[in-house]
Amino acid sequence: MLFAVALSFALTSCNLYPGEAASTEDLDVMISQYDPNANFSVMKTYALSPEVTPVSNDPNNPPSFTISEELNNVIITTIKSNMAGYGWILVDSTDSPDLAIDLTATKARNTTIYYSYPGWGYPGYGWGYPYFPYASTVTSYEVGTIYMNGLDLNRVDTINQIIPVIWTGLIQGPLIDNVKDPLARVQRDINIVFKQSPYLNLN
Amino acid sequence: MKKALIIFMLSIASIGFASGQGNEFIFNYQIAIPGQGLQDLLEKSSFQGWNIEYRRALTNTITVGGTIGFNVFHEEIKEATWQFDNTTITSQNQRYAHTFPIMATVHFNPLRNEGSPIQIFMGGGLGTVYVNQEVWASSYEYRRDGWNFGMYPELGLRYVMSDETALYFSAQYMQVLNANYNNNNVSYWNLKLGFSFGTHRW
Repeated sequence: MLFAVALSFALTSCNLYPGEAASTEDLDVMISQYDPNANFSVMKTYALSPEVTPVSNDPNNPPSFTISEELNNVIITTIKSNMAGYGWILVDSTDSPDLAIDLTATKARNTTIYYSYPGWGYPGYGWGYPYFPYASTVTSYEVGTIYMNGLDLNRVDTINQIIPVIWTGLIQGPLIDNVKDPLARVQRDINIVFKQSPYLNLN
Repeated sequence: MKKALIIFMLSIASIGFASGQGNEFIFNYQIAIPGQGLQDLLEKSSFQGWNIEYRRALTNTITVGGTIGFNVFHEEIKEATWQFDNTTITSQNQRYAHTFPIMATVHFNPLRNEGSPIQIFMGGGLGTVYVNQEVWASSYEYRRDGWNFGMYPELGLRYVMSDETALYFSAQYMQVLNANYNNNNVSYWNLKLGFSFGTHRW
């Protein structure tokens, strides 16, 4: 009897991957990257793209989505607020800014399969069993990515027509449809990108 | 299947009876607390751990045997930030560690008191441990796994309930060499509660 109780307890507690992501918000990723050769301290002014440009993953087709005005405004306002907090002065693109921030977005559908299997010892679904893997949940969701690319306008290579990207902020996740409070979520994610980019701080 | 397993174990245990020696199987539930090395990955204790041991008495105070088991560690970090080179990433993290030791063991019962049902034992294990460490950040995954040399000292109590059964309480400190992602050792404490059956005439 005791053995049976222990065995049943063992089976129910043997999930090797407890606590998979429970909501799409859990899937947000914020990445920032900078060029180690860039010297941000000599910069002062920046220009900002007035809108986020949707980009298609397929070069032969236009993007199948748009960015709402509301979302666009939140993105622009949040970037401006963070840049101002770091001591940058926003100027028009015709006023020779040191840095230009270009904004683009992509959207793609991702499919994730979560495997839920009890693990060692479970009769029937253990490793090596012919029916393995046993997929318990299939989740399909839209992944949106917003790219903020900082271009160094003091180092434009006019001969090869290259403008070096010295900073990239990337947010993956927030374009997902039907999520709770998407605007606050985008705002939060952009704030995190700037928080983890202290080298942009001119103060 | 379950019946066959029980019959198989009772058969092995009965060999000890026949030869006048003692041997037993111990089924342990174990709670593991991350120690040095493993704490770099996660800090939450594991409540998913099981282990089975076989002990055979060589003398009245010494047993040798073997053990296999596992622990599942998991910790969710809502907003984890980590940096490498010129890149910084923030996301929710699901962090996992799985350990699977296979070891030879030796135990001593130096304070054996013939009349008492409670015995103190000490000992240890030596062998190999599979350690799997994973970090899931959205659709990104970092993983390091492998078999490494491991060992542990152990101290515990054995409460003899009858000629065939006993309860075990023990603590062990597992040390797995070069197993974490920086090639440092991974360690954790295991608190074990076990039930054994076999012979206890040693």
